[in-house]
Amino acid sequence: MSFAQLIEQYVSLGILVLAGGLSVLSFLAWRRERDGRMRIVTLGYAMFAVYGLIVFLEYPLLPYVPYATLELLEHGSAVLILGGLLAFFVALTRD
Amino acid sequence: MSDSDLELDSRRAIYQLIADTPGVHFRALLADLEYAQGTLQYHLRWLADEGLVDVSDDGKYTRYYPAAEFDEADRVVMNALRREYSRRILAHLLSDGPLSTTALSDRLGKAQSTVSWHLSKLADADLVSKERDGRAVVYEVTTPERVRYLYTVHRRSFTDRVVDRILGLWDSY
Repeated sequence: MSFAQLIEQYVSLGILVLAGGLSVLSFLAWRRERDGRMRIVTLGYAMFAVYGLIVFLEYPLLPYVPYATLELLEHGSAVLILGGLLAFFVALTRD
Repeated sequence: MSDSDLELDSRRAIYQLIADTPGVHFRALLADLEYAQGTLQYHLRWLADEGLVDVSDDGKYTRYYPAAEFDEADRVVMNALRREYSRRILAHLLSDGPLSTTALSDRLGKAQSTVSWHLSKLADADLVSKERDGRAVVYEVTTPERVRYLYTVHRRSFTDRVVDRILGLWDSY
């Protein structure tokens, strides 16, 4: 695995772990306080975590899934970043 | 409580931690004390069987309380005090009550549905009562002295503190 691929693996793993952890904590906050805003925040962090998971799985799945499919999935999953940012915007502007 | 009940150092350490942090749950005990899970479970069962520790399920965690200090009603109050918004609602009612849902919603800056959910939980625990004041329904604390005391002595777990920080972070925007 090249240096560039290693960086991608480590960064995507970091996104998965950090966003996943924050998503769980936000979910606990929503469950405890029933603040609707925290449910949206949970969704936003979860989208980042799923993006991290998809990018991280690209190389482990390479022997089993066609390269073109994996590339399409990885590039398409960038929409999750957009969705996560939109979710945060809604959470910030919601009363 | 006889001294022999807490003869073993490990049992004493567990009891002391529970006495210092009433309402602490099993994972927090496991994290703070360097005992194996089975050992901790064994000692907790022993302390509960001997009546030194009371066990209370708040629907999410099994929490442990020193038996001598808090009765079941107190534990209900302290479980409610773990919720940030419930705690703030009780603080407002204690200082300026009785207050309506609308007034509490304005003071907390939270949606009325959120405030109503917390008030219903507090009412289920018999911590607040409601009465009609003209066209409005107002809430007040049923036993202010006891709630005030427990508000002072209650402690939050590590998870509660982290969740409170995250709530505070989003509340600040």
